[in-house]
Amino acid sequence: MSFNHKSCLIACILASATADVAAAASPIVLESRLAGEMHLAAGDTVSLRLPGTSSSQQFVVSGFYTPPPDPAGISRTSRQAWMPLTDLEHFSARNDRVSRFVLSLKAGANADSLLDALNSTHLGFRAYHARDVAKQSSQTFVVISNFHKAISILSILTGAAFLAAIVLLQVQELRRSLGVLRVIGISKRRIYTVVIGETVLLANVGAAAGVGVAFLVSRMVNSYYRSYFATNLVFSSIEGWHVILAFGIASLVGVVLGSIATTYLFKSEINEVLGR
Amino acid sequence: MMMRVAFRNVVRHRLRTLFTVLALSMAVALLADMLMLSRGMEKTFYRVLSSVGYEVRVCPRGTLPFATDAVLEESSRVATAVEKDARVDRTLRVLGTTLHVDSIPLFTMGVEGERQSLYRVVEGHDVVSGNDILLNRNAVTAFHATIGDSLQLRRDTAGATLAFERARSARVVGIIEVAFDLPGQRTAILPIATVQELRGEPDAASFVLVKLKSTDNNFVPLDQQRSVAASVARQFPNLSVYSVDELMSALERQLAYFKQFSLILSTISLLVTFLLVAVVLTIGVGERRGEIAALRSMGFRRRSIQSMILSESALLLAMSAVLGSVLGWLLAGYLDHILTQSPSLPAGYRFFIPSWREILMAVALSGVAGIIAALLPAIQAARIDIPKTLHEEVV
Repeated sequence: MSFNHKSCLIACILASATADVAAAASPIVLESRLAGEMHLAAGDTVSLRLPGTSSSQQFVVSGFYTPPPDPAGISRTSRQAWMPLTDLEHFSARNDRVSRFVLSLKAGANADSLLDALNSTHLGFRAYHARDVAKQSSQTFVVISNFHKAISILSILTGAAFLAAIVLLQVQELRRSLGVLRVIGISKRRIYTVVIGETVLLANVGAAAGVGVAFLVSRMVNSYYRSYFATNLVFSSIEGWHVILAFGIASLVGVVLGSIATTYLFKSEINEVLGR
Repeated sequence: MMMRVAFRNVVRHRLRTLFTVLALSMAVALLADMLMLSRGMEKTFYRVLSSVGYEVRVCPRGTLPFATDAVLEESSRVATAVEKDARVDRTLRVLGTTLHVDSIPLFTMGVEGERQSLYRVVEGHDVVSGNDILLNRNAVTAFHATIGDSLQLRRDTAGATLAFERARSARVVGIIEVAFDLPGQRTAILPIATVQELRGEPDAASFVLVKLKSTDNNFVPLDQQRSVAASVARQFPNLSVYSVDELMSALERQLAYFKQFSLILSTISLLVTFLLVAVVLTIGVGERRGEIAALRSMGFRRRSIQSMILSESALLLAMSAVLGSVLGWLLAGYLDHILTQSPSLPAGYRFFIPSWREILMAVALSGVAGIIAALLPAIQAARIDIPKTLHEEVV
C-alpha cells in the first residue's frame, strides 16, 4: 500500500512487536533505526498503544524510512513512525485534528500576502513562512557558530603572539649577519624584504601544517560524531575559503610581525649589532 | 642567585618576553575557560536539580523528565509502592502538557501535594482546589491576567472546527517562579487531577519525584540516593529511575559536544604552552651559548645552569599565569554570554562559571607543561662543551 508521507503525522509510542500477521492491519512505516533495535522486517506486525489507553492496535510494517539529516533533532532519543492521517485519526480517536499544515504555493504566488491573510482570520492558528521557521530552528546553531568564531579569534591571537615571539628570537639570532649586510652596503629595504619574506614563509608553513591537521581532525570529528549520533550529518567541513583565509591571515601576520621585528632590529646601533 | 640571573635574562629582551607572555597567557586563559566550560554545565545541572530538591526521579523507560510525551500510566501505584520504602520521605507526581488559552500555548504542570519545591509561589497562594491555577510572569503578561481572574483552558487551539470543544475554567490564585523555565516560556501549575482530566488520561504522570529522608542540613548521601534508585528500578524494571548523579550524567550526554570540545581545546592549549616554552628556551639557549660557557668556565655547576633555565621558564609562566587568569576570567563571561543566547536553554543556565578552582588548575597544568618543556633546553645548556663553545663564540 502506498500513501503520501507528507500527509502523515508523527506517531506515538511503540509498545511491542509481534510476529503475528493480521490481515486487516493498517500499514505503518517505521524509522529505519527501529529495524535493528527491535529486529523488525517489512511485513512484520507491530502493536501500538497510545499513552493512557489499555488497548493496542496492530499495524503491518510496510517499510522503513530514514529521516533526512536534521541538526535540530540530533539529540532526539525517540523514534518516529509514519502512517496515513486517516489511520492515525482512527487510532487516536481524535478526528479532524492536525498539528500543522504545510502549504505549497503556486509558482509566483506572494507568500507574504498569503501569510497576512491567514493570520488575520483569527481562527486560532499562526502561519509562518518556511524561511522564518528555518531561521528560528537554526538559532541554536547560529549561537554555536558565534562561539566557534570567538574561539577562532582567540586561536589566531595566540598563534600571532607565538609567531611574534619566534620571529623576534629568529631576528635576534640573525643580528650579526644582518649587521654585516648593512656594513657592506645592503639597503634597509632589501633587509626588510628578506626578513619579512622569511616571516611570511614561516607563517605560511605553519598555516599549511595547520590546514593539514585541520583536514585530519575534521575527518576524525565527522567519523566520531556520525557514529555517536547515528546520523549522516556533516559536523565539520573545510571549504576553499577557509584555506584561503588561513593563508591570508598567516601572510598578514607574517608581514606585520616581520616589519615590527626588523624595525626593532634597526633601532640598534651597527656596532652594537656587530657586537663591538 | 640563579633566579636573579634568570630574571635579568627575561627582562633583557622585553619585546620577546612580552609576546611570549602574551601567547602563554592566552593559552592559560583558554585552558581555564575550557575547564570552566566542562565544570560549568555540571554546576548548572546540579544547581537546577538541587533547587528542585528531590533525590530520585522515576520516568517512563528510556526518557528524561519532559523529554517526550510518554507518561507513567499507573502513577499512583508507582508512588504508593515507592513510599513504602522507609528511606523515602514523600513523592510528587508531575504531569506536563501543553494547554491553550485563547489559542496561546501554555506549558502546564499538574502536581499533587502541598509540600513541594518544584516552584515557588511569589504572590497569592498555592493551588488548593481543582479550579485553581498558578501562572509564571510570562503567562501573566501574555494573558493580561491578575490574581482572581478566570482563564478558559483548552487542550487544543480553538480553531474554527474546534469551536465547540469544551473549555475548563480555572481561577488564577497566585504567581510562581520555576527554576528551569525557558526564556519567554509561559508556565502554569494545576492540580494533577485537573491536567489528567484535560488530557483524558486518568492516573497518568510524566514522572514521579522522590524526596528521601535526610539526616541533617537536608543532605542525603549519594550512596543512599543510588541505593533507593536501584531498589525502585528493581521493583519497576519497565521504568527509568535516576538518582541525581545518574540524571546529571544522562543530561550531560546530551551536551557531550561541549565536553569533548573543551577536552580537545584544553589539550591544544597545553600543547601550545609546551611548544612555546620549548621553542623560546631552546632558541634562547642557542643564542646564549657563549654566555653559558663563560658561566661554566667561571665555576658555575651544571645544576646551576639547569636551574637558571628552569627559573626562566618559571618566571615566564608566573607572569602568564597572572595575565592569563585575568584574561580567562573576563573571557569566560564573554563566551558564556555568546552561548546563553541559545533559545532552548532554561533561564539562568550557565556554560562558564568563573571560579578560582578552574583558574588554579589551569595555572598548575600549564606550569607542569612549561617546566617539562624547559627540561630539554636546560639539559642542553648544562651539557655545553666549554672550550669548544668559548672558542667559537669569543675568538
